[in-house]
Amino acid sequence: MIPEREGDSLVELLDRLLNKGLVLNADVLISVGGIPLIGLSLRLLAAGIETMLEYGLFEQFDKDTRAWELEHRINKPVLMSEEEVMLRFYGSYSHNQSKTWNYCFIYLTNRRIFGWNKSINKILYEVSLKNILEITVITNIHEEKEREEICIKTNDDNFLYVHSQNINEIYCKLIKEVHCI
Amino acid sequence: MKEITQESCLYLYSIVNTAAEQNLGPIGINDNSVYTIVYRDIAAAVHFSETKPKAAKDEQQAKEWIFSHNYAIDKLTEKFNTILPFSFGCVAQGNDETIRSWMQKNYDSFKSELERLSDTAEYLVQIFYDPKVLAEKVLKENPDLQALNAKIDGGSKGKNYILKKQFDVRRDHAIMNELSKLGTEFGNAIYENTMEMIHEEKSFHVPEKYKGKKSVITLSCLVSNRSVENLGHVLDQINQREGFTVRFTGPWAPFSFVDLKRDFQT
Repeated sequence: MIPEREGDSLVELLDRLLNKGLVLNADVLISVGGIPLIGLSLRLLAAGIETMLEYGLFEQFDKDTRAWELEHRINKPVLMSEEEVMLRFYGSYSHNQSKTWNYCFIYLTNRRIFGWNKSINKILYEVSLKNILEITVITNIHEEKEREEICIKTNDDNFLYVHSQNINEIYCKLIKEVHCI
Repeated sequence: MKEITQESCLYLYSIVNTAAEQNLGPIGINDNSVYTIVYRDIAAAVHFSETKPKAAKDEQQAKEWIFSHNYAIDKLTEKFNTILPFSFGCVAQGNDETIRSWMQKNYDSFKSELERLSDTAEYLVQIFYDPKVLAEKVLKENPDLQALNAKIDGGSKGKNYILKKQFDVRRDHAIMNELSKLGTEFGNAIYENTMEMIHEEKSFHVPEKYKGKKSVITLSCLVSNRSVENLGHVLDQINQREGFTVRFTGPWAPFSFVDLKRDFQT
């Protein structure tokens, strides 16, 4: 196989350009569709920053960045019309057989269940309640320990696994909402 | 002559190997000219702005900036071969002298990182599988599953439902085991041809043509230029296995592998 750059897509570039590479602590204040991109450069070079501050490079930027961030901080995801949040909890989710668990705020509404990343204001996944075929509590091994997870089967044969504390409360509320649909 | 003001700042693209001050033309964001600020035999590639950057006015502009940043990185890689790319949006307030003294202080880290990464590039390897093909494969290879499958349809409606459920759970577990076995096997074969490898926990963007397939593993690989062909060969073999598809992109500047945390001068 020969490696290709198949017309770089924006998403692909964002993965690389925002989350990787050398970073300084003050980012240009830009916004993609209202989403603040500041704060995304997570790999801060702690030592490097101090150097930069020592040279007086960033003080003003740093202040401005924080002010801007406070002003634009987003505290909740955008809901659909007539959508109501029934339960909100912090937990993790995994798709199908993927071994990766991603942590985020998980919302159960009267329409859907979704994961939301606050820092980038992005819906990471969503499942419409009307597409749910089956909900079960299963016992799984995670990091060599048994634990309960909620397994949600959807009508496209996909599985969504959700884990958090209070699995039973989440399970009951989820069942109730699905029945209401 | 550049007007140096309190507001003036430099947008950073990369650290490169060069001892020559040069203007690389209007390859930067908003068509700004990118030029090098040299300290000894290394340089920072930057563009100068009289005023500090403002938020993008709309999504379109933000996108253009991202593409421009990437374009400049590609152009710089083309010209200087090995570069240390900056993440999007790194801006330093000050002038050429500020950057130069910062490079002076961190010269050793920059230089050794440039040497470590010379004659290498970053590649992204994504391996996908077709869930249907894999489900058939595990069923074919697993007599217990076959036996369970045969029992379904034999009993009452309620019993069938339970059997079907049991079958689904066991089949999914078998698929999970198979994937984890293959993931390790693929990972090892790829690893032999790389200098460094990062397992991307967060799944990368999946292009439209791979939709419907599921991801086995996503790896960012630092590959020496002489190993790229071998790696391509290994990936070919994986790509030919039934149900598997490989996506191989690159070369990219070593975004995932620049690491100055270790010995950054304070």
